[in-house]
Amino acid sequence: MSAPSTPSHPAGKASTHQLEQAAASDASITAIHQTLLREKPEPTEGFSPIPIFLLFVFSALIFVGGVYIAHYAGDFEPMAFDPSRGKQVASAEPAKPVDPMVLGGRLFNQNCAACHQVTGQGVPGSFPPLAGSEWVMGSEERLVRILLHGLSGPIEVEGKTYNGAMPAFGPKSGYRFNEQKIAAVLTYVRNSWGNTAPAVTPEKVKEIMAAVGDRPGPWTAAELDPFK
Amino acid sequence: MEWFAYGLLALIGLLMSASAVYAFFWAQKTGEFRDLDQQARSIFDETEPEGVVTDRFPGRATRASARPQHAAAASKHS
Amino acid sequence: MSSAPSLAAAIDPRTKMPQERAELHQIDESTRVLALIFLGTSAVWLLVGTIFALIASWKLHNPEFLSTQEWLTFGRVRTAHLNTVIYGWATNAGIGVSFWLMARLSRTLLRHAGILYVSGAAWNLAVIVGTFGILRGDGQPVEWLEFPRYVTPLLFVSYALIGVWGIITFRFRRGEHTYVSQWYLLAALFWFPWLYSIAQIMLVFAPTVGVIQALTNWWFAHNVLGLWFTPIGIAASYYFIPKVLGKPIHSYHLSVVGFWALAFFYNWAGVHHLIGGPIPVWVQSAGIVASLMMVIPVIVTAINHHLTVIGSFQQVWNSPTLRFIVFGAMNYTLASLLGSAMALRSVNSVTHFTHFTVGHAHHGMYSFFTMVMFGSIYYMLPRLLRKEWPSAFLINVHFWGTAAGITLYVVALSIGGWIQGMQMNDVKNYPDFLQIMVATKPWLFARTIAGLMIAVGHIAFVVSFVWILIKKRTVEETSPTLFNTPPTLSLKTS
Repeated sequence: MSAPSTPSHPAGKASTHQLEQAAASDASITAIHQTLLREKPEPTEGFSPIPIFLLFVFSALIFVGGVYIAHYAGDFEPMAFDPSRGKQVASAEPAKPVDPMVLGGRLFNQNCAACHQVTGQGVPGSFPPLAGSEWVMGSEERLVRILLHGLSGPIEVEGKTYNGAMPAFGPKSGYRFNEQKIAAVLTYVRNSWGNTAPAVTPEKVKEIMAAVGDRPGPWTAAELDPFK
Repeated sequence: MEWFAYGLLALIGLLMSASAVYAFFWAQKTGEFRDLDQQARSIFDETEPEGVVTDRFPGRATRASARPQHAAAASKHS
Repeated sequence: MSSAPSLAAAIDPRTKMPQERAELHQIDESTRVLALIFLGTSAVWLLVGTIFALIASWKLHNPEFLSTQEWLTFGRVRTAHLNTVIYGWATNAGIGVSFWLMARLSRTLLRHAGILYVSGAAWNLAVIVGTFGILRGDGQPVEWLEFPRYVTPLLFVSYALIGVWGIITFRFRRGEHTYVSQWYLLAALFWFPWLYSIAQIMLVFAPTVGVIQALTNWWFAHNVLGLWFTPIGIAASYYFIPKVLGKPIHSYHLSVVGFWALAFFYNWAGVHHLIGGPIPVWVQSAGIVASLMMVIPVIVTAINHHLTVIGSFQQVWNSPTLRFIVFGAMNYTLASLLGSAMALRSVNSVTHFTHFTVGHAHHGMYSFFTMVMFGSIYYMLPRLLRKEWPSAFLINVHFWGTAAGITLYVVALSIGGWIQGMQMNDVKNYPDFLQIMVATKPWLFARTIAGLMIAVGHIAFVVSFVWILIKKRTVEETSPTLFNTPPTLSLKTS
């Protein structure tokens, strides 16, 4: 649609109006003027091809992208994060022993702190405290059972009655804690916020898991009385 | 049923990719990648030519910097 | 300074109307009613969305505010805000600008306007019913697709009609060149029905199982931004920046590269919303790499936009359109580069699930897209109505309110969100979750202030909009395109 040959756009930046009018009478001069005047103030303007340094930048980006994919693609294996998949690799160097207090602390903050709070104080009237609780510092038999299958109904803690439900965390629940995780989180709650009680070992948890076997629903406080 | 849905989606995906490839070759064939400076100028024409600022605040004299272009535009019709 | 009114008096557009100008005028005329419908409804939705936004923002630091009103609980108001601004404001404005641009660039009169009337009516009806449904509690639990399922067919049909219209118009174009804006617009019109229909099928009508749902959801949500709003925003900036300045874009070569790079990479990028999630790790890595690769089209577009403006930057003081669009283009560069950085695992582990992401979403949707739409509307309406904008003051209030407001918004939420993310990641001295939340309060308050500033800008915009609609055409305003009849010319030789 543009018609560069017509003398109709005397576009100038530095010239005065009168000069432009005078020039407009001659088509060819106008055309040249137009080009010259437009180009001068903006040295960057034009139809520059892609600058060569950009090509380098883009090549570098693509290279980095390729390396990134190669590095973080997990062999294009959907189960790359499945712990069982890495077993062959793990055997090459001995696994570091896990500090139950660190693992337990992380698990607690992720899974328990929403109700029992990071401070272990619970919420008065709704969620029982763990700090100073006789249930936590008492028998590990009772405690492991609660974690495995959950607990519902009235329960008395530190002289106050709570009526709620705690979900199950055992291997067959939605949380799928194995014996190591259960032992770690229990060791953590038994030794935090001023609590002092012996650590819970994964072996002990396994033993109790075997003793309880399958159980359809959560425990009630009364059911757990024998394990005091 | 599930596989039918996935198959359908895969088919749509393939069609979309094919259309992109087609668009690319169509563009090449019809010369969209040629004569690029002419294409960049295609938005200007007689009435809204290159070198003329076509927008300003209402009822306000433009600042000095923009003035020559307006003068140029005006001179065209005088 | 001496004024030269004789110059203005010398112009008489009624006697000298070259054929091409008459043609351009006719094209503008043919789009007038439809453009006004789409842009007018978009302005209404903008106000409605702003009200929802203010309520939601206030609730974040004063949760008890309106908490007894079931219809105005946070979950519904925030959702209503998102859907009204995305589907009410941004999409309506985007469509209005798109078809005006499409008709102009294709140099053809608006054909088959009936299609657009039907689709415009259906679309707005759907947004009304959908927003009502969300407030009523019928929303879908899928982010960016919260409209209840009874309105989705309406939205889809209306949308598909617009896509069909775009292709028809492109088909009847005149002129041998396809300008880069047309590429972007066509692609956007083509991509959105695809995104929307697949997302509807896979998430609402025949929901997929498990994590594929989350994948589809973020593929859709991110692509609405990337393959629908972004192309329209870029198309508008590629048209208006050179047009207003009267200067071709810096490099057409680059714009071609930019378009194809966007088409190739953006589609993958949405997965970065799920980094660390239970999806195959290579899918996440592919998403991260695609987000990084988005640097290519962004740099290319940035070079083109900014190097075209450079040397004429002072024009932003003279042109409202340019001022809004340059602001938008600058923020496109900034928001996109930040977005690429946020996709990196190390950064993402801090910013994910914090207010930082919220700030970033507004950076893209508002600082870039919405500002570009404002700029486009400032250019279009005087040409459609053959009237000047009534008040430079209102335009200034609009610009400074929104520009300062959104900048405060993004900065406040970025800082607040970053602090929040660092605190939440600090496993060793994990503070009370409640403490972290309380620590974000000042930032959330700053965001409400920013929201109020933006609201002032929006009110100025809507007042201008209504005013230009109802005001009388003055005698000298008879020229179809107004640039060549400036009221006064100040001649100052330097």
